[in-house]
Amino acid sequence: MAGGPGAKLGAMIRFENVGLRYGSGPEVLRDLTFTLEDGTLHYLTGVSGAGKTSLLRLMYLALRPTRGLIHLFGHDVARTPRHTLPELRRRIGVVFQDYRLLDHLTALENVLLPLAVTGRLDDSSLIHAEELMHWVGLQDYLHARPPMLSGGQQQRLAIARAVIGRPKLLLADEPTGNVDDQLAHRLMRLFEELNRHGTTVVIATHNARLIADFPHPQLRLEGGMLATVPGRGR
Amino acid sequence: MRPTLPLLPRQGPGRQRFLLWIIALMAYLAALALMGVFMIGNVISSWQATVGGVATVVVPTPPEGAPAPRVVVDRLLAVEGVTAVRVVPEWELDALLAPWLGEADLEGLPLPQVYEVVLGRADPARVRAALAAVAPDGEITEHQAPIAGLVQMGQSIRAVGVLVVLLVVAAAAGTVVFTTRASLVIHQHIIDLVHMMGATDHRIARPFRERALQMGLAGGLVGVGGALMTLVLVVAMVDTDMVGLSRAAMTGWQWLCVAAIPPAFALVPMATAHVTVLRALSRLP
Repeated sequence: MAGGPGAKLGAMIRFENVGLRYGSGPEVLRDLTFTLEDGTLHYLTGVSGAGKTSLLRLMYLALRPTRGLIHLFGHDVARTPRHTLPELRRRIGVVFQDYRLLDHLTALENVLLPLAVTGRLDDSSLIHAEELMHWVGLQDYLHARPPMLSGGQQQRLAIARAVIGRPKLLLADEPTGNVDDQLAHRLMRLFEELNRHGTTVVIATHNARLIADFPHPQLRLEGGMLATVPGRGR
Repeated sequence: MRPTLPLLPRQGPGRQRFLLWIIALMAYLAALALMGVFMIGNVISSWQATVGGVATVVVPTPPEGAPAPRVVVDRLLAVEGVTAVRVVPEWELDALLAPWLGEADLEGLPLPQVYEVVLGRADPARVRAALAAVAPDGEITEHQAPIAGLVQMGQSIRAVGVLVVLLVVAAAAGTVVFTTRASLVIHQHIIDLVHMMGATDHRIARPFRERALQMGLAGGLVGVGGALMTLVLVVAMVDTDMVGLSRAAMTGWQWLCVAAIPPAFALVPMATAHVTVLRALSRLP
């Protein structure tokens, strides 16, 4: 669960007084201090523009904070040499709000992409990818190109791609934003299943109904600052 | 499924063909300029070796007698740098005079002694001094001065040719930088994605590198092939002996240099693309 600065150092994610500004603009994130323990599932909530996506981008190392400390997998990100960051990124799976699927690859190839670009493609990869496609219900679309898939199918494909590398940390940005309730519930069950297998999950969402149906601890952002709301047990 | 995943989508045939022809044109110009540099250099060397490198020594034969040819030859050969001295035989002198004197009997005419001196790296002033020591009336005629202007002009043309080769290679590299940067912008979403997946900069740069390599090699081969065809056409159309092209014949290592243009046109763009992509990626966190 989320904790204060005194939480243990070996935690999955630890932020200390983190601030972020783009260029010379105002701070979009201010004084963020929290810890996410290994194996937890948290929602990241807040109104549009609260800074959810920026916070996720800090977590998946697409941005560096303008101040404060970020510890990821026990590493101080600011002090980690740039050439070792790819190794940290390989432990993170990201489901982007806009999916970011590559149209020139088939669905199966999109799922295999994280393994292919990090030199981890082997004989078992194809079998594993097909299992994942089955798991997300896309077994009949292995060789379809993303533009041929519906929004929900693309969403599930993005999830399969995010988990193919067996990430320790899964970050999902509005993963149910463009799907109906039935599919949203199905995706949430996928995330919970991953979490049960040991993956730490952070889901950015403003879907109050989903949070009510699948209660977990929340990190709520308000005006770029964090208000931690403990989740209800199921 | 394909054994490896293509990180970048296939380029459109129009764009690909355009780039290929640009690089082929540059390779064509580079190959022509390089062959020109070599051939002009060979002609200059030939002139210097056959005409400019030889001096003619004429020793009059006064009634009191000229020095023995052996003495003159030995004295001239003693000069540092002189590689050979040949006494021009009388029958050759007769042949040289025949156009003016006809088949007349030249017996009794006081023909001078004539020597051909291959100067090599010898200082002409020292040769002159050595000649004066054994034959004060002897005269030496260098042929270097008359062709010096031609040699200088040839060397200038050769320098321009080298400059053209360097400019063309630089232009090719510049073209690759421009197209690679354009490609980086077009594929920025893919680069950002795989960067976040944990791909290293070198892995991301690979497809850009490979694309530049293939394009450079294909363009280089087409360009050099075209340049060779041009040379063959030129040689077939002119009388090579008349214009002195036979003196320009390229040597083995010079042909190797021309053959190295396609690999060079592959490697320079590849290295350029690699550096361009790495520099762009270094701005990412």
